Amino acid sequence: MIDVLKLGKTFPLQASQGQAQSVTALHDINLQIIKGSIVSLLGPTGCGKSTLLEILAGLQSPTTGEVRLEGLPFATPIPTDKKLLKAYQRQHRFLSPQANRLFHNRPRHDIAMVFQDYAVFPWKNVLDNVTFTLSIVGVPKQQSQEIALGYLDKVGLLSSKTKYPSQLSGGMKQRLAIARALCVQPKIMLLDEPFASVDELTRQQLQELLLHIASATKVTIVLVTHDVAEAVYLSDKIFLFTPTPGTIYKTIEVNSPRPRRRSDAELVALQNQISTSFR
Amino acid sequence: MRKYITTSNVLLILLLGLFLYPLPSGKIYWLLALLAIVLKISQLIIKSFSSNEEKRKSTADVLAILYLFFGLWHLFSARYIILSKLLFPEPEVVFKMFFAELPDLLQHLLHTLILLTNGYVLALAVAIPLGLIIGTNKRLLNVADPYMRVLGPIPPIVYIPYAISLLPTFQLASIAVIFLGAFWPVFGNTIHGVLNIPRNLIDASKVLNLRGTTLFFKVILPGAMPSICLGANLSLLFSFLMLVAAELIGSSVGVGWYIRHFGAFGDYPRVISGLIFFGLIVTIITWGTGRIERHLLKWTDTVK
Repeated sequence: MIDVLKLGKTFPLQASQGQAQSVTALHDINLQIIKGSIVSLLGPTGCGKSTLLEILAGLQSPTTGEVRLEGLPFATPIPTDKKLLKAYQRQHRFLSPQANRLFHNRPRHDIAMVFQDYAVFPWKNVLDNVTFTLSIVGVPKQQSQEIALGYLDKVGLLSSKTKYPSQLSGGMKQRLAIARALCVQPKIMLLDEPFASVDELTRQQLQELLLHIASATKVTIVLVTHDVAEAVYLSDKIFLFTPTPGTIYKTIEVNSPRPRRRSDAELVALQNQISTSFR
Repeated sequence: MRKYITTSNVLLILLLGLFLYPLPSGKIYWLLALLAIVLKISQLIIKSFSSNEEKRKSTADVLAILYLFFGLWHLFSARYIILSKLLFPEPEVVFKMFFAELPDLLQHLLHTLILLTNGYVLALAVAIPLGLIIGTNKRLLNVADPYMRVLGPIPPIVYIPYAISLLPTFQLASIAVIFLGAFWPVFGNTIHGVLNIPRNLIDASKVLNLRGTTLFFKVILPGAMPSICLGANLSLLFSFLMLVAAELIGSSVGVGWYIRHFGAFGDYPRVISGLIFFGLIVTIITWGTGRIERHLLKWTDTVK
């Protein structure tokens, strides 16, 4: 269970006159994500949905409010007061206080993220990308090889395990990114517009893959997207965002049973309803 | 039959004719003919080892130009003496001189290589770690930036006279000068490489909970590697430049000194031998570093 409580994020911005200004990316976000569900954050570009995902991933810290994971505080604002900040930094000596906080006092690697532009390591081949991730969690080498091959098989990349990412197509890179995210058996998977840069046919394949994974592993999936059809087809719950400042404008439950059909009248009607609500 | 009639083969036959047709004095250039055949054989060997079809074709063309050059040189300096005898010695004289001087040249090379490897390796050993550290630390980067802007563009050759007077031995002075010449390109490029690692890769590493030395060696170092290699190549060229410049100015050994010394006596066969020798050595070294680079960057799609 993820609870987001009164979350706000403002970015400082240096104005041309030298006066410090700030942009509010997120304002008063409240949402709840139930364990094992698939949730979409849907909205036009620039509405702060990616920022919210980055806060959930621990890549950024909120300015106000907090995120609770299973009732425990997970992401809280970095103190602005100088003294408090010093104490905070002492507590988190590593590269990024957020990343540090993320794994503080809790089982590691219960969160995995898939990025829009893949973010697989280009200097490692397909197999090494996965085994490297496993080695970070502390899986012994012999075992990690086996596990990695299993996950590559699951995403259909077994035949190109010795290739480098530069030799793969966009869809294959995203499969690799998914395999890498899955291999540590996360409880939560965050996907930031994962299928935005692949073609329509590959996108449908990858969506099926994601649904298959979700039903097989019971992982909680948080998906950021600007594709209405994708959100409706995949999600149990859709949060609609509006930009400047980013707020949740509407929450929609998708109750139609799985497996769904893309052309299902109920889903299409819902798509139209969402599309018109943005106008 | 047709496939044997290539430009390089036709030129080879013409060249052999030119070398083996006796002069009025009865002289036949057996050695040069042998050289032409050896070149052809080595081209065939290289051709059979190269995997790329385009490269395979180009070896013959490269050889053809070499044959043409040798042919014209021989024609105008030995058969019809149009060029000045002093400035353009015959190919055969240079060829014989090259082999006669080879032991000497190798000895000079040893001195040169000691300077080169010391200066260059020292520059890499200091610049790469320093660049990685400064590139990952914003505060250090802001401090280093003005120094890089001021010190970086100073042409390293201007340090030579001062370095020679400042340091006790010529060897130390040249190493220092090569170090200065080689340091900035690789340093700047290492920092550049670190700063240009795609943000999403760093984000991905953070989500994977990477930090400390693992992050440094498994993400930042390989991520900056293309840029580091670029800088290292530039540095190598700078090192050659600085090396020869230093030897021309203040040494009494080394290949650069050899060329300058015999140039002063007007001994041009030796000078040309020295030039050819230096060219060969530089080729071998850059071929070697190219192999290393290809191995390090085998994951990029530009290096094949």
